[in-house]
Amino acid sequence: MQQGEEIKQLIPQREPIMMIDTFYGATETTGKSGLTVLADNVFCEDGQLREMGVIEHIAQTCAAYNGVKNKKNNGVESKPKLGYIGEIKKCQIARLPRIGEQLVTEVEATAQVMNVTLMEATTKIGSETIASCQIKLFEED
Amino acid sequence: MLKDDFFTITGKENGEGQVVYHIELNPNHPIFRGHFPGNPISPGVCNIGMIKVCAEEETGSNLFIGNLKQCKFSHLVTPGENKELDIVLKLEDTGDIVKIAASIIKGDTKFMELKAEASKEQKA
Amino acid sequence: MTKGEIISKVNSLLAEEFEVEESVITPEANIKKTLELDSLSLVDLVALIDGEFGIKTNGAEMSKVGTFSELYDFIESKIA
Repeated sequence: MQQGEEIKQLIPQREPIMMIDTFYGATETTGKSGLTVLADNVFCEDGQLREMGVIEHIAQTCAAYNGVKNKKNNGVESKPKLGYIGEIKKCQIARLPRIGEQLVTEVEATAQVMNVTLMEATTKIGSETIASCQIKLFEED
Repeated sequence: MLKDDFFTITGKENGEGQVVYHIELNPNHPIFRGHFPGNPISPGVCNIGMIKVCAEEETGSNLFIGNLKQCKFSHLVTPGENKELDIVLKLEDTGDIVKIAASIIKGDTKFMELKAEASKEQKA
Repeated sequence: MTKGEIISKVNSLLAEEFEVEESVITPEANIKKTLELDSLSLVDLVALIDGEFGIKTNGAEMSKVGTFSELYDFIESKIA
């Protein structure tokens, strides 16, 4: 598990737009991360994390998965390839998280064609699913 | 959150079945320091957020995007080169639900396209 | 599964996902052109086919498939 400053080794985003605070690990096809919603989160409004924060959290989970996978396949010292979000589809948000709640997101790579990876994501608070979506990650060569 | 801080609306044009909002990014916003250091790019979610703000202006309601059907990013928005942008909105207000079809463009360049359904929030 | 079943399943699946009329899907038609696929949406096609037929397609295999007829043959060989 990686937390705090260690997250910076996995994703290129920095404050104030780091939307994962814990990375629980990755397999060849899956990754799992967490975020506790703090009052000073840049995407918080009226005590809630807005849609943008939820989606960015999911996107950064995909990025962290991708970062870990690349390190495993290409060596720890390899230069991380930049991954962009090409597309977001079928993104459903059931409700907005409140300050103090912890989001846990699992992503799974379901298909890959050349440098495009299709990922399915599910975000939960406790046992409650609050969001799900499909993200296409586009990786620079 | 984003309005008058991350970006400002500088003008609006009504067209046939659509409205176009002219906007300007604030390159000094702290988000650009973290996304990414030394390489400012507007986060995709902020592009979605700017569309939402314009849709809120247009409908006069606070919106919650519970169903983002599709959002395609074709070009990176950099606040240096692409400070001024146009947001093209096609809205269908069905009462509780607002159907949004939108794109962010400048001239011939399309930066992103979005289709979503938003519900109106009660103002606190 | 017979070839006929594969064909009808693929056609209805693709018509729905990519929002085209089933009638435009003909054996010799080019998949990318017919379904207006770009480099991003090709992966949707792979995910859809994999999910429906319980197969695992890698990108290199799929990039060799040009027409619908080749796609039917490809699926048939994978599930055989």
